[in-house]
Amino acid sequence: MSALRLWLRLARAIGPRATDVLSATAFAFATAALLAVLGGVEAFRMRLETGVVDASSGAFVLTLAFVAAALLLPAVWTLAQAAVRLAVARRDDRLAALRLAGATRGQVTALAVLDALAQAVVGVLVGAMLALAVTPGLARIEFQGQPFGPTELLPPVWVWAAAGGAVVAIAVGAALASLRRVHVTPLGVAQRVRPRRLSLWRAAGFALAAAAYVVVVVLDLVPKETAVSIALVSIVVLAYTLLGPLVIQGVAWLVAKGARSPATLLAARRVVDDPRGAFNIVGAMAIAVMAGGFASLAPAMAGGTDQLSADMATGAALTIAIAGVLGAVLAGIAQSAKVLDQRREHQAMHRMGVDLPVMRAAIVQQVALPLVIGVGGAAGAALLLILPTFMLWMSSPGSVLTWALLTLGAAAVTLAVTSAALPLVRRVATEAAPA
Amino acid sequence: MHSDRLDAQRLTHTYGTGDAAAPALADVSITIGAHGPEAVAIMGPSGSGKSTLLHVLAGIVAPDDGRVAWRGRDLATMRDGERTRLRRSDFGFVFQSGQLLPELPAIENVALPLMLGGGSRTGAEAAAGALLHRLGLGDMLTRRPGELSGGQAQRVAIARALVGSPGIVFADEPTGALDRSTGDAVMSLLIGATLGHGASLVVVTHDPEVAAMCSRVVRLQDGRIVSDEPAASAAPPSYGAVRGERVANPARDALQQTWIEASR
Repeated sequence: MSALRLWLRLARAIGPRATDVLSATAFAFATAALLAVLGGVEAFRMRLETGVVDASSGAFVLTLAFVAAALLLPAVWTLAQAAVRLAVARRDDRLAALRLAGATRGQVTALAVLDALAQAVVGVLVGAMLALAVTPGLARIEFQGQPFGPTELLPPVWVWAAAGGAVVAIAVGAALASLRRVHVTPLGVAQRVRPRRLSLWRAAGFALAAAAYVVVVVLDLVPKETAVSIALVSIVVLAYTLLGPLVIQGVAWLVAKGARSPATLLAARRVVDDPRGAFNIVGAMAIAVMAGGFASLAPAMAGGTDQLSADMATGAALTIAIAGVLGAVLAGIAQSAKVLDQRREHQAMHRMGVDLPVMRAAIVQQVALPLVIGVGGAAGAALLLILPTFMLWMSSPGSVLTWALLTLGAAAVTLAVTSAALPLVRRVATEAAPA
Repeated sequence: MHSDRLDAQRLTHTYGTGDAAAPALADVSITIGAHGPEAVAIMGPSGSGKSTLLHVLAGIVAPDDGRVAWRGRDLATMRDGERTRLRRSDFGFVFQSGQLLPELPAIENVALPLMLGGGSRTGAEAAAGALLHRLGLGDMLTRRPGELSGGQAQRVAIARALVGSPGIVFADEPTGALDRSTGDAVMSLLIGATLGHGASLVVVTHDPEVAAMCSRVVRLQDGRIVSDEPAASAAPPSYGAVRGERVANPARDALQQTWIEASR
């Protein structure tokens, strides 16, 4: 039987599950965010190209839009990956059973890819509709002294097609990558070993990159605007890949050492175990909050009359909001996937008398901990750095207050969406063991 | 009458409904620890209801009909949370592959039940460390389950089961994933340490050698008890019973006896 026919037969027999819906939801949000970001960048580019806005400030705003896109795109990628992981986690028993029944690795791979493909296609279609639905709302936000026309924010058809294709490609790629870990053997459940320590070379890499930047600026090797762009993009990329997981792992290790409650101990150990996963949830939010902190000060510094500084504050607020939504959806999806991944541990904990509230608290704290370290740390750092301008805030507190409320809102929404995974804990932990 | 007594009367349990209904337990009655700590093996072919019986006795699964009483108290009258606390405070569990929490090092795995019971982290880790030392795992305290051999992981699981001084320990195929000699050593330790702690042991197994190490063997078939008698080669139920008279293995028996004496 061909893999396609087998997949159709299984799909008909089993029907969509809750995890399929969650995965498709994640793909939908990833697509909508991607389209919104690309639509924004395209709109700023068109305004600049058609001469609607002043050339120098228009170019600067476009650069900032690119920076925001660079910040949000890794979050989109991570969200799509989490969606696939959730789907595969629920299916690895079935895939292993198929392998035992004689299915080849190629057939099993094809089944998983078809699953991911179906979810991604549904997600892309729903996400496109979601993007269309939010566009009129986004268009009301004023940039460069004028609101966008709804059509301005809608990217050309080829961009829609490319964005959809990219999400589907990410889904297929992540499915293939996940399967390398999951179903290599019919009985293969990967054994956990001590987590690979994140190397201190990350810190050295960060220092080296910062030094290179200083040299570039001091020697005046590139124009000032370009240097600023390089710095912003570098902070995004380097912090994302180098420093964030290391900091989160280190702080979580300290929390685990001092934990007094079982839930905190479990949560902190799990974060130590998977610092990249923890950072992925909060990374984009943390950087958006940090950058937003500075940007929110711009209107106050300009005396509240400068359009460019107002645009910076608005853009930063919008970026925090989008990063917050992506982080929240990712937290819900990632924690659901973890509960399902760890169903045997949850069953064992239930049998040995671990209360369900303790298991649930561990799931929430697994997100709360990186949230406090990442987003709390970023907000704290931003506040500390802009402290010398305290009197300026007081004279024009609007944008700083907006920033603070958005930061708290993003964290609250992330924790609220994480709680979507909690009903799974009871279901998984009390699942009947085979007789 | 011994106070740590588990009484099960006329247990019936069925999985599924209608045409798909599969009876797992049919009118099963059994008493554990009536005359003091004992090691009871539950044997039977696959699908005979062994694991279901273990789960029902331990309050993990509620039977469709019948009654399970621990120290005279009916488990069915307890709330869900109360049964969970009972499993934590009065029962210990050892499963086939340990089912230790993979993120926690050995000492934290063992300390966890005490912390869950409200104990301080320091006290819980001190007790866990002492127990792991006595089980010969003194230099493995900070190792995670993935870094331990199968036998070592099962010894950690035994320590976790015993650290709260339970009245009864339930073990589901505890040597199923181990080779013969490691399995024998683990089983000796499990029986010796459990009885040495003054607790009874209920072990589900389909391995006759494992059953022969226990003091009593209950055989199930199609969800019914077909025999309940002292193990063929074992002495009557008592601490001494675990020495058995089966295949001579002086090293194993010495280890078991040492543990029993050290635990008293």
